Amino acid sequence: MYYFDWTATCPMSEEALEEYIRIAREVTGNASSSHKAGLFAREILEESRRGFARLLGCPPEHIYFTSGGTESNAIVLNSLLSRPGTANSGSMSSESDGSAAYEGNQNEVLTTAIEHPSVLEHRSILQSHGWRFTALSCPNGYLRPERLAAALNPSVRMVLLMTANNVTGTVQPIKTAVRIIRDYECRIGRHIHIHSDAVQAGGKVLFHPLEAGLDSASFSAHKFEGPTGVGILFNRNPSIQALSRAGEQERGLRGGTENIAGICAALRAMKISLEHAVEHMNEILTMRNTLEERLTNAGFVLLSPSALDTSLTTQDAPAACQNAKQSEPTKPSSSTNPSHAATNTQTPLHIPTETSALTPKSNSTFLPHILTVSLPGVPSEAFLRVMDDKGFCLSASSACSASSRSKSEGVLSAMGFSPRVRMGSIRISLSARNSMDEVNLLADAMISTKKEFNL
Amino acid sequence: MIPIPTDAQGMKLYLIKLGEISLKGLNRSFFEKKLKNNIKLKIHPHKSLLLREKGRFYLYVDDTCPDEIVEKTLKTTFGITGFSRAMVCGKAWEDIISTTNKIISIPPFVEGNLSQNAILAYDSPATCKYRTFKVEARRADKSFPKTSYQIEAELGGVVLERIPSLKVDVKRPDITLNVEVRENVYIYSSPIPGPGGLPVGCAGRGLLLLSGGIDSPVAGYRMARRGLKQECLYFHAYPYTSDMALQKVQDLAKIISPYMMGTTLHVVNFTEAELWIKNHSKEEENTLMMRACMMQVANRIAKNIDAEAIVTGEALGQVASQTLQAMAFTNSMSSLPVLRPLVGMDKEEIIETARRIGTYETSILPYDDCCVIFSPKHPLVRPDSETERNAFNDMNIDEVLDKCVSKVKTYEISYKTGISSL
Repeated sequence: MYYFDWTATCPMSEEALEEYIRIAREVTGNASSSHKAGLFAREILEESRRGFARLLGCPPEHIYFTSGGTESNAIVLNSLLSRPGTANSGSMSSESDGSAAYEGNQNEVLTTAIEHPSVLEHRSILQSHGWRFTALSCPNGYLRPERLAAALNPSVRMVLLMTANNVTGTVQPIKTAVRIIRDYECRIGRHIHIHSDAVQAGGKVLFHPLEAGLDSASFSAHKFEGPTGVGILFNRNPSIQALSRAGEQERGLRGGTENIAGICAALRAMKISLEHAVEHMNEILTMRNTLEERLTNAGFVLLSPSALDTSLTTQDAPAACQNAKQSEPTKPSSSTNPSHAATNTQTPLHIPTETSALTPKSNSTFLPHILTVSLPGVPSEAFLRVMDDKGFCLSASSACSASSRSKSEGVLSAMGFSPRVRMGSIRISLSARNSMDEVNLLADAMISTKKEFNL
Repeated sequence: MIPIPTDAQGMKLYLIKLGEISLKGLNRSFFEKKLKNNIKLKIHPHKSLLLREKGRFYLYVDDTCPDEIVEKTLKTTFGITGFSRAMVCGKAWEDIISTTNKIISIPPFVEGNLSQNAILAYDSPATCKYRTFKVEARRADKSFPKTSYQIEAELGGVVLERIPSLKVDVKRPDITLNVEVRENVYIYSSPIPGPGGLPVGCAGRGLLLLSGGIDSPVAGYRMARRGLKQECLYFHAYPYTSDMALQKVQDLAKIISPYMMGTTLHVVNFTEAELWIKNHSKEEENTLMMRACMMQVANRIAKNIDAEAIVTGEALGQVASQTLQAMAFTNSMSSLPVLRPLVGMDKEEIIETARRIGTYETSILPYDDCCVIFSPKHPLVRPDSETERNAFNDMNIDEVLDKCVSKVKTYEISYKTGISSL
């Protein structure tokens, strides 16, 4: 079986698993207890917090442990429910271009239409509490800073902008967005909370939410070979409130006995993952380039940004990342080419060394781990079933039948892809644990399956 | 005159009312034998005895057989219009009183399944979900010392003493206790409705085109109700349809199998045929050609299993392929008669039946066909049969269809699995 669905989840690394077993065996107390076993557990827990703080470049008191990305996002979004959106709740708006008329007495949440369901699904509950929920469309998978700027208005209280998209891997211009929002704050004289769902980027690239100017960001351990059920929330806004009414753990933000073994394993996984991030990124990029080339030559339509194509116009790309193009236009593979590296200083994400693994040849940033293609007209469900029979685990970014429209179909639609393209979308996600041989087998299998469909 | 069978010891008695069968003439015994056989088969391996009398069956079932099994059996066996739990005793008045006390200590008079011990302890007062009752007595044996009226009055008193919450209402009682004085005395309460219809197997054999939708299981149910024995045919289009969809059809077949006295599910892999159709016919004719091919395959399979008719869940005007003209065309592609029991039914009526027989919840599961690429945007609504037959012949699809038929997979679906999951 060949696994190409690492974006959905990854198995725990050996090291993380060992750490889990070790801590589960050694740490027997409850971190809230005052006896020796409890104090020891507390010590281990706080040590892990400091560890994450170092990796994420923030003070330990900004780190909160949760059950995953979904809960981290939910804590931030649900905090809004404690204050009514407006005196006369009920008015709803979901303008995708952000040009909706500003209604003075209604508070607003601004986000993108390509967010994960754990963000977008809050739409109805927020609206029922009188909030305006505005989701900006993102052509080709990128938020355009000028659209964000146009959408800002005095009623905006919170902006949510995902770091890297889970469907196509596009990386959003966080720094530019933050700068625009902070500038706007100065004009209106009020703070706007900025949250980023960094679940797909976490552990893959060195991302410092504090340096990026964010108020909060969410991470999930099972996306970087840690255990499932462990999430990390970076938050520096004291007005964010707990989701559940519970004990005083995590300084009241997330009650419940801490999953210390899981947290330690997650820390170990993130450390290892980040230590090898550049090396892995380059390996993945090489594999991706091969895949991209073979699949596009065979007639698959590329939905993720292209690592090979330099023809994108600068308007398509976020402002923060444009300089990548000037430095290095046409090298075949980034791993052989560290020269365009330093151009990355303005990109929203920081790679631990000088190699820009993100966008060597195009002017837009993206995670090379995710390569989404489409076979227009072929229902992806059918294609994936055949691929599954051949031993390849892939995922669809949309479902073809109308009765089971998947939530990511909305994401692809917000990126501006046609229904025929959306229907045939196939998401390949790579890990450094894949090999070039596997990638070639995958390409062979996809190309021969395409012929079998003969459509 | 029906005597109590000598081996009825340790058996419980049900009285079964026959509907339409009792109106039959000289061939009545053919229907009765079929029904008797169907009941015995379903109750097996529990021992049962069936005695026929005009308009009714006496069913003796081994005491070890749970009431539930007997009830599910009788509720799913066509030919039965109603049934009641009954008790039989001699003509001694004290026997009649004690038997009356027993019968009003078990459902439906009192709620729940009472254990044997509870039934014996019938001297304590019991509660009942009904408010009113009456006793109705009949005397076939006119030599019995009490008149019908006396029997009714005295046994009514017994009931009132046992269940004080009940009141007598002779005009519109919620429940009736029937007492029949014959060679023995039979006591039974108001019948539970049965499914009606004619016993399955007395009207020949058909092939039901079963899809994962709401309609076709209902169509199968309705034809089984007219006594048609049926096998089922499903067209699977893997990978365009998932194996979950096949599982769903198997589940549906299981749910309707008790009504059908078991069935056989034939699964044809239809992908090659669908692709052939897509590549060899006009887009607007795709659906019609697919229906035509299904009819052809169904006819071939029907021939192999000696079926004399095709059953479909089509209803007039429901979709483009169910217009009068489209039906005329599909009919012309079948040499066997095509039975469409739902043709004049409203969708709401179909859904109501589907809910009643328990298929609805399974039918609406979302693993439906992923056939968007096979269904044209603008299908032909009023096809001309002659033109379409020519179009069908031009496709030269016969060999592909033969291959489909030769690779058919069959699954036996016992009525037992259906009964236990009801």
